[in-house]
Amino acid sequence: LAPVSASGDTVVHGGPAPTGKAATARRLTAAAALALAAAFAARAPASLLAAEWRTHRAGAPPDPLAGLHAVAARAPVEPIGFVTDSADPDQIAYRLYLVQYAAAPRPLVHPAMGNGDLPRPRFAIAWLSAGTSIAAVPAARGMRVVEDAGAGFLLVEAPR
Amino acid sequence: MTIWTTLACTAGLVLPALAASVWLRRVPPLAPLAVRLPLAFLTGLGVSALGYVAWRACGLPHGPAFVASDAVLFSAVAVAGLLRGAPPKPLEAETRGGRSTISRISGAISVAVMAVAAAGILLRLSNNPDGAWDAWAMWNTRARFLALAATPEQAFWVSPALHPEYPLLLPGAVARLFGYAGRVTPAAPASIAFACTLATAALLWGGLRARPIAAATAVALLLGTKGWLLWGTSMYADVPLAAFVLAAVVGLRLADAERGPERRAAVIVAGLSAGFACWTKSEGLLALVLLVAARGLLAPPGRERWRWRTALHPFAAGAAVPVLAVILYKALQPVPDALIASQGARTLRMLSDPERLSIVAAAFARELWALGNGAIAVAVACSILLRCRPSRAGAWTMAVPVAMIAAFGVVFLVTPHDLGWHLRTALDRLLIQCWPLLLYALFQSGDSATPPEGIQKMSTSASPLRAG
Repeated sequence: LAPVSASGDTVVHGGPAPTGKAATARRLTAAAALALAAAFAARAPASLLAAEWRTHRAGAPPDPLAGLHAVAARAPVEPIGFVTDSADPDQIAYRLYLVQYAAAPRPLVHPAMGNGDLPRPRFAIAWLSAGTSIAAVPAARGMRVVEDAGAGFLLVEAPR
Repeated sequence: MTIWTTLACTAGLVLPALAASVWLRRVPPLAPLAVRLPLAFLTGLGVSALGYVAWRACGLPHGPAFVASDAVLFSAVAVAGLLRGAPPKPLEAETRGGRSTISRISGAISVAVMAVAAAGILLRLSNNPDGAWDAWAMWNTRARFLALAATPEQAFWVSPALHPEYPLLLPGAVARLFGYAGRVTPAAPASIAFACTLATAALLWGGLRARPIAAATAVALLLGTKGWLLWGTSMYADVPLAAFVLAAVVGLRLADAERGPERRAAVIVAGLSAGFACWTKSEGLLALVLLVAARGLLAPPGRERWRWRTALHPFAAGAAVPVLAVILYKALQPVPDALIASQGARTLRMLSDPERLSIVAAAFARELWALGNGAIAVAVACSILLRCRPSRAGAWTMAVPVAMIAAFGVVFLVTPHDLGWHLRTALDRLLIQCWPLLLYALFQSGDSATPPEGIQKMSTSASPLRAG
């Protein structure tokens, strides 16, 4: 057990401090360790700062979320569908999750979301490649365009 | 992100942190500013997120009514703490350590590294306001459901692809800040990401501050790890989880330097942090179990083991509420955990499959080395140079991250997903969860809870050991 001092406080000794050459050696190795860590550490934050500064200077690329938010805001708060002209599975997954992000709290009904068994929603958000017409997308056949935010983002309504 | 929404989100983070800080002043092992500030931020984040989720689960609306109640509650808690009078006097060691030159120089180096890192983090968050894939595909989408849904069913029972079985600390915290900002804004997850990434470094400094050079070295290595900065700014839950696990371990280690009611309160706070780790991500539950086991099994027989047995009750009391929230939430979820649900007859076959074993072992070796481009080797070299030798009483802190990494290996062996894809997309993030704790364990010393030289005074009130 730790000794108890006359004043009633427990006293813990951290060990005797080194003196003379031992102390100098300790200080040198400690300084070497800190220098090593600082040299190592300087790279990551500095390179991150430089890379992000370059990105900042270059300007932000077009943000698909602006168009998605614009069409999602027009949709009623109820389950919503998703239409795309892409055939690339990675591209479909990217668009699907980004549409769900913008459309929340409207649940996106799609087999890939694990809820494909729900009834087909009345409204759907379409994310089409530049220049593609909604009429050319088989999944959206017969749908009426409610809102066109440009750049391929549309809110479409299924026929009643 | 406008300046006003950012300020509102900051106010939403500061208020519970302030309330926690006022009360942590009264817990001597956690009272020093370097420990108290990051710990108060994390405690406030966890408590406020839990409160928000409870509010929404009761069907109460998101909006000004919540913000007013939340602000009044945390202000009242802070005022109540202030009205209780002056906190106990700081430890003698704290006042001595704070004045030393070496402490100032090391502190200045840490602050400089943190300032450069903070600038990089801010720029990255500004360039990527919605974070990386999992942030917008899951964590922040869950936050939007929590904040914007009209009913609890819509808020909590989301599509299976959005992982409704994942715990809600991060989405709850983000949704709560949406309330403070008055609208859905990327500033909410960004402020949490910024604060968590830096608070972990501050807590690492605070936990090791008895040896300022070791503390500065550990902070430099953490913020010098590119993966830490990138995952931190991705707005994923891995960095907050790492922060809570570190808080639990640092809290327990600092509590070891104390006796009596003060120790009990510090252990409760450590338990609360461990509970919040469970409420952040499923890996938190693993960390909690391993922490309790390592602390109990690896403590030297005799006094240390006895001390842990006496600490189990307050630790469990601290962890109880968040852990119960996790259990209740998971029990009510219709979606089972994919990993657990997929186990069965093939589990043993997968565990003993030599091909899977070699793939997992090779991936771990590669990623452990790639973590910060060899940061582990630099950390080990620095800890040897600094003569950091953990005491027997503190050896368990190294066992926790090592056991976590081993457990991750087992998870990958039995994963129901494609092994290559799962390793590619998750392993580096999982290792990041252990990184601050590995650094803490490497750089702590036998006397890391006490100053390196000199004498520390400790309160001994109501200590059953004192008589013995």
